Amino acid sequence: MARKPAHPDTQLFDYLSGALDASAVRELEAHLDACPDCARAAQLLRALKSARHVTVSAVSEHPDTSEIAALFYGKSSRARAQTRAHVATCQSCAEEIAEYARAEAYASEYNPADHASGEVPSASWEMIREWEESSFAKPRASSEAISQDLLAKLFKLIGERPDWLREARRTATEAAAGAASRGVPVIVVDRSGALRSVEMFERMTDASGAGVLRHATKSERFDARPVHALHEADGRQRVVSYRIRLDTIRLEDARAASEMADYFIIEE
Amino acid sequence: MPNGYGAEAELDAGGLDNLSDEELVDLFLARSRSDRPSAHLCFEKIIARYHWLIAHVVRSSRFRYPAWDSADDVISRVVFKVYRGLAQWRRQGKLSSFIARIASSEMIDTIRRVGRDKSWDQYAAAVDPDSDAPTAVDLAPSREPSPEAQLVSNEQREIVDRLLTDVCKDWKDSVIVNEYIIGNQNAKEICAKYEMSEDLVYQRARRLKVRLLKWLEERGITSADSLLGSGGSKGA
Repeated sequence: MARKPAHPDTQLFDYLSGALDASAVRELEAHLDACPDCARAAQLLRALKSARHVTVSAVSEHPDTSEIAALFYGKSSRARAQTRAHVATCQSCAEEIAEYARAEAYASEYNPADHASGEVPSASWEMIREWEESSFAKPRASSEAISQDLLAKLFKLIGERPDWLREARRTATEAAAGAASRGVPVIVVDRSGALRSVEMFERMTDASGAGVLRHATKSERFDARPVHALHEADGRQRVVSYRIRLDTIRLEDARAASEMADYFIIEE
Repeated sequence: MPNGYGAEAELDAGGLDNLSDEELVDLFLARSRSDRPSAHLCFEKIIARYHWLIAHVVRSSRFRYPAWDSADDVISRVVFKVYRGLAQWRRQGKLSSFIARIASSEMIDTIRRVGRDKSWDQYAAAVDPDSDAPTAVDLAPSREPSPEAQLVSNEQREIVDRLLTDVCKDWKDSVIVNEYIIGNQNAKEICAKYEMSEDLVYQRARRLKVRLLKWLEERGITSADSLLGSGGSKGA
């Protein structure tokens, strides 16, 4: 018994795009005459091509650049399904995706040592100076305060004890096993309460005998940031806030320092 | 110092060259709160490493910039945005990738701004404002289709939108549908443009075809007429 020939998927797309040569067209059309499945597929795909102008002409508003970037960089949960559908018909947004793809390809292979060093353009320094002298670059006291709403989210997060929190504690304990200090995970969240990262600190005693937490890799990137210790005992919740100095949190509240707590840094 | 602040930084500029990107950015962020000249010195080192990448991404783009907003202007804005945005860098990704993303977004924003100005015709002849003669705008035919045609178009658009929303799972699906399945690009052009392999284009296109046809069939759309005439059971 003769085997049924495979459906010519690739050739079908090329055929519908007019990219096949004459002999390949004849061969494919012969298959379409004999195969009702492929004939129906060709008919529907051709209809989709012709329906494209309907959707393209209706495009009045493109997704924001950040949505296009979120789609490209794989934040599929954040990229809206509508953005994917939009890019499937909008040529200008597809071109933007191509720009991200090209830039990412350069970036993934880029080695600064292979290229001449560059300078900050003077126009950039002008913009930086203006920005730094404006209020935008100055610390805002209100952003350092922890709102009731955010506090509730953090306690809820702790209450639900999701896997990542348990895992962070376990990693901190294991990392500090046998060491003089004790590992303490400090959880970095954004202002909506979503997890960004877990930073490892080490609990130790400074020269004055006070309890301190010091960043495990001595990173100073959180210098001057507030850190909030959330205590929960006997059904009562309490928050004590400190400020990080370079890589160290000095636990000035002696009572709080002796209790178990979950530490949070809130990043903008 | 080129930053115009004139302050002497306390950091050893030579020592900064030996720091990793992560260490340099950490130091930049820590110093930017209390010691700006030192932060600026760190930033100079970061840009010394990545200026070439920024310039390459901006200058080799397929986009063309207008004379009043040159590639140099775009590069300056990218460098400023890197300065402003370094605190947002997630260490899971490379710094080069983070910077390339900022450069691409700035280019796209620039081109979108240019696009919005397209309606302005600088060569149009001046018109007497007191003239009773109909203007070019008055004489222009409506670009809107008739109400009947619009109704059909809206129904088609709704179906196609729902179809693509369900079928495209990521950006690769979206651009393959756009360029290959309903567009007329060949696989070689697509892989060069989007930095993906030819095999991937074919493989995805085959899967997309199956999903597209299944979606249409499940909604009773089994012919071109039922798609173009919106004759399927849309509620399915």
